[in-house]
Amino acid sequence: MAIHRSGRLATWGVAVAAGLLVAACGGADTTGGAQAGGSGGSAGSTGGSTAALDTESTFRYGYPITVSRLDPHKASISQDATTLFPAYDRLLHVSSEGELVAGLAEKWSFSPDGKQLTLNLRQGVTFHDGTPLDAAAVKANIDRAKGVQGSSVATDLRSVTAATVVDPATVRLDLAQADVALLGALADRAGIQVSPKALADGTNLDEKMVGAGPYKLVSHVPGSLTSFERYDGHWDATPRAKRLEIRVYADSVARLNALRTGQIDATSLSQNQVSEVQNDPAVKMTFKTELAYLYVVQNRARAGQGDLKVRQAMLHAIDREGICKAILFGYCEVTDQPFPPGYKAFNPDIPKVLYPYDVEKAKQLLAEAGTPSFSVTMLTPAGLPIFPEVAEAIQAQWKAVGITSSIQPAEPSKLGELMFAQKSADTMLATWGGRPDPSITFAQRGTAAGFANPGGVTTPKMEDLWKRSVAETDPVKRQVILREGSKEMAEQVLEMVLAFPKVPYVMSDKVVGFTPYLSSKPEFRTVGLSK
Amino acid sequence: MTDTGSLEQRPGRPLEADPWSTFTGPAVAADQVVAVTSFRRFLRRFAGQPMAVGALAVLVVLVLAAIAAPRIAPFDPLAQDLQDTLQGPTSEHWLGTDELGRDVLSRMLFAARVSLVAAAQAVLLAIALGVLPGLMAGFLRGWVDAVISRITDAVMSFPPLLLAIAIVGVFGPSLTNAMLAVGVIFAPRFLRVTRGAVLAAREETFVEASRSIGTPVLRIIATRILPNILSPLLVQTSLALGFAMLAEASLSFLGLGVQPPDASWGAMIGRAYRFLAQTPTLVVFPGIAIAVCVLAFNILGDGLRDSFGRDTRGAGR
Repeated sequence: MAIHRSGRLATWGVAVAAGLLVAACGGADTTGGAQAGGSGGSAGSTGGSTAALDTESTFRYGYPITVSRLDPHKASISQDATTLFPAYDRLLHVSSEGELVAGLAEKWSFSPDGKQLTLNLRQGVTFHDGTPLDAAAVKANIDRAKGVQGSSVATDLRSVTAATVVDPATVRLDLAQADVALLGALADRAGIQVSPKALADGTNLDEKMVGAGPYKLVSHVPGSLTSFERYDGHWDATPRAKRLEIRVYADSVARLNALRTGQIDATSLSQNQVSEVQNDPAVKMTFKTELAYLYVVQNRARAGQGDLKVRQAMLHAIDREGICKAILFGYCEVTDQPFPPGYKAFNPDIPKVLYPYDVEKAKQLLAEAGTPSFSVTMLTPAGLPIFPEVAEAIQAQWKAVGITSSIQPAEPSKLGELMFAQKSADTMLATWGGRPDPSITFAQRGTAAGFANPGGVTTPKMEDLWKRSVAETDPVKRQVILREGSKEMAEQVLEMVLAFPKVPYVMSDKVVGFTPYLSSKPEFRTVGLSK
Repeated sequence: MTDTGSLEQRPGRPLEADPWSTFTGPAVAADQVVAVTSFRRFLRRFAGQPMAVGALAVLVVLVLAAIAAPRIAPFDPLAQDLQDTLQGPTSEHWLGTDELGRDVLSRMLFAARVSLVAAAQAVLLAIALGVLPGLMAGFLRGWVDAVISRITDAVMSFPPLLLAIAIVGVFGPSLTNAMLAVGVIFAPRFLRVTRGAVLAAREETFVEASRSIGTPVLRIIATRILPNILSPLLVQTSLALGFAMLAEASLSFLGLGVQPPDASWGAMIGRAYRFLAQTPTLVVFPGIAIAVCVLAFNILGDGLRDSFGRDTRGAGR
């Protein structure tokens, strides 16, 4: 048990750490409100040029975070998806607006009791090594994803008890309980399909990528460059660039310089760089509000934070609009809910901000709670932009209502372990990467057993809403439950959301077909350069 | 030459058998005269170097400003105004405001304290770690020297800043850890300077004379060797202060040194660098402060070197 548990914790730690990084996690799931984009820049979200795509071109993308490893079932951070998805198709895919669309499975359906998920596979798909995709291949991949030593996606598939080959084109997943959120996982790394031949012959998947994705791996230099060449046998014949390169630059200043000097064709920037490129005719810019948000994690079992009044006071004390304006240069949206306005799980029936900046109210609430002054520790990611500024702003604003905070910077990759596993701090400033399905955010942050809820404190109503949200298969009924859950999270301050940043994406005017993704993980299935 | 160890332990000869310690004749008075004149000579030589005097003046002003920071800073260095961020110099904020609307001049005055104290900490640690082993290695020679010198070589074979980053990486980012790292890195430099100076001094005739009359080793080191190696150590200290300040700035720039809300000049540049396009002065002013300060320490070091030195080498100034 001990071994099992620590293994599970480690996996969760890795998964959570992933969400803490700036670029973040995510993907979204099923149908419903796809308006979450909130694009603020150039019309639509496609690439800079409307000219015809040159299918002989090379598209180079600047990404802040290197892939942790190439083995798709062991890759440990969600940002790895950007590098994995070109070579690996998943059972389901997501649109740029977070809707589930057909991937290697053309159709999917739950049994009436929700305990069986049937997947109808796309016909005529072959992996890069020529092996055909069939039900046996999917079963082999699900088995490996669940069982391989060091799997980082096993927890996403924990409701799956068995994968059964019904016929060569049909797979059935048996579930321990109804789990609609599983679809979101199958559209993410957990749904990646590796060639069964490569799985069987012991190919080192950290060196080779043998998938059914639109690009084949050419070379990989960790921390620097991953090069791909188009796979012409891909089932989706949409025109795309001949070659794809993902180049790693941690620093957003370096990324902009790389774009301006022609070393890359597109990338994302920090909000403070917007004014620099706004009037540059050679750079096209578009904004994307993603599922990722800035937040303060509270260990609700420490420092009196189990008291709702204390949590409300701490939120009232923070000038989120001021932080948004000064530090994110106004490119963000403030809400108390853990989903961006317009997203299917966002509840439009309550005020966007329930607990606005109000120093007197905060002091009054603290007095009512019997803790007019106390001190907390606050972990922050070291070395990443924005966080030091936000941390210092919060520190000063909390001080004004009597809350003393000490900032403890730590390696971004260690934060999840420190906050969620070791539970060594009272609060943590970080980014929640968003999750492929809203229920996963509820489970992690809002249930007593959630790994990302270190104090374990929640409300019975939240527990109930989460259970109902994963059991409800009807999308319309489910949306009502998800919105109730979002409301409960906001009202009870089960999540201290600071803001949803609008991320500026920039590209040269030759780029065709580039689209930022709600999930914050761009895909390059339709991207290239103009002639 | 006799073996010092056997001299010390010869039976019947007490350890404090240095005949000079009880000698009160006129020779001691002459010794004092020599000391006074050599200090005067140093002052005369130093005063003759306007650059070095200027550097010293700059440093004195900086130290005084840092000490008086709470009295002379126009604003609270931590007071934020999110409505008034990233301003260039104005009549209200002489050096502008930073990304949280804090007054840059006030922050720089307080940052001077951090930068100067941090540099001093690192150099003191380096002296503490470097000088004693250097004395032992230089004076005792033999296997002691071999062991100490090999350890020194090993430490010096690491690129300095990389080693500092590794140390901070292991112990976590904080100013104290960063300065411990820098101190460890500078210790071998003090060790080598000390050892070299001791190697020269121990062959001097007055040391040989002391030894021949049975002065204990520790007394020889304290009263004959140390005063004669002070000048290269002082020069090295001044240069090291400049280097330590630069190292602190580098580590803080990388976010590995001083932690918010406190700031050093390097940390201020590290934060302001992202806002270079909006408010370039945020980088310029702390940058000038670091450059001036490091330059002053270096010029002072050069001036000290030229002012000490021996008569035989001095150009008769």
